[in-house]
Amino acid sequence: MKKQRSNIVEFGSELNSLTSARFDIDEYISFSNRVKNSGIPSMEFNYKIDISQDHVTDYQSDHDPTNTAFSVYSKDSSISKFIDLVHIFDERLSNSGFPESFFTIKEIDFDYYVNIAINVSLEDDFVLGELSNTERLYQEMATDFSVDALFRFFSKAISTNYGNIQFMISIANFLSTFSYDDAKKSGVDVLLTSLLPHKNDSVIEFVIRIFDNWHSSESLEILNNVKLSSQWLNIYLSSVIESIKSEKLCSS
Amino acid sequence: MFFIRKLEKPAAIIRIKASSSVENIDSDVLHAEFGSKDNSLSFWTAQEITEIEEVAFAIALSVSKVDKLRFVVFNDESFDKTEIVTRKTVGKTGYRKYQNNHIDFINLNYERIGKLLGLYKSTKDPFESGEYELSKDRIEQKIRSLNTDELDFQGMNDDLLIKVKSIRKEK
Repeated sequence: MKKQRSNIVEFGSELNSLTSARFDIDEYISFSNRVKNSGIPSMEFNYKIDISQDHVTDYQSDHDPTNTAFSVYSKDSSISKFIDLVHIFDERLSNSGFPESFFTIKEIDFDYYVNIAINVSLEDDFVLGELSNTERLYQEMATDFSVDALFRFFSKAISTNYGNIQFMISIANFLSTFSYDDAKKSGVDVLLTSLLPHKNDSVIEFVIRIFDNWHSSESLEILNNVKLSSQWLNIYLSSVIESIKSEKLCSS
Repeated sequence: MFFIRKLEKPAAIIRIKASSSVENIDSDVLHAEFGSKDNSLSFWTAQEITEIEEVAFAIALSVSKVDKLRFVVFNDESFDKTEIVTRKTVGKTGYRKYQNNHIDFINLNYERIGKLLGLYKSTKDPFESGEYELSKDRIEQKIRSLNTDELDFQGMNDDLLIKVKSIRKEK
């Protein structure tokens, strides 16, 4: 998935919103050193830094200034305090040499996006090869969120709207477009297994499709231990398992 | 000759074949796979088995996104027994060479749809499973390999066109 040329700092809360500060960096900078030099005491904000861009494994040794994203999470559950944290963080980073123009702060309202997605999904058919309206919506969100934040959105969406069939299918339909590596890094592969026992067969059909698209032998561990109630779904699942196994045999 | 049609749902053929009889095929499958327009359904033809993949690519270049696709395939011998009337029409696809491989099954009604369902349920020629599939990687590979004059960009859906151009830029 293409990323915009910007570094995205996101302050995620366990509540309803994801707050993000987006800033552009024209050259690679050692982020953690700047943070240290800026004097922000890590204990005060209780944050951890994750590198959410998949090809940046060690940002000190592998840098790509056009495509690096950082995520900062806090366990603080108060969104207003979050905004304060963002502003303080903002100010401290400004004082350490980032130009002010680097910062824009945007609050992403989880409930707002969920409601839009639910409404849009009502009219979708989810046909193979056709771009659904929810897919267009999630693609737009993907230009604003980092991949990691988007997966966190889906994670929360699934756990709070499990019974909404169209919405669940829309998420499964969109997640089938991601690579297995991206999904695995964010734990989405495990998240999707939560949809396998869904009482709606169409939801399960689309989840199996995701594993079919990924075609990863690593997912066999999950797939081989799933039992479904519908005969046709079990046949579909078996055919996907056999297909993955035969590809694994060919490549070994 | 073979007839090919893109499946709308991932497990459509499996679901049809798993039904105990044509009469027991779920209505959701009928709605998804046999939603006709003007009592017509769109199909594509391949003269030889070796042409099936190319026609499948043509269908892949007639949709709005690059995605793993599945197709139902059956031969003309089986089809002729349904007595369904066909009409050749120009197919809207970005694969220029196969634009004339499109065909409509017309004047469909309850009885003829039932016969078509029976065909879907029983088809084993040329593929035992009754279906053919194209992976997303294979489609992208094909998009990269085609020469510019083999592609009809105006015959493509706008969203697909953006994706095709992006894939071809990567080559």
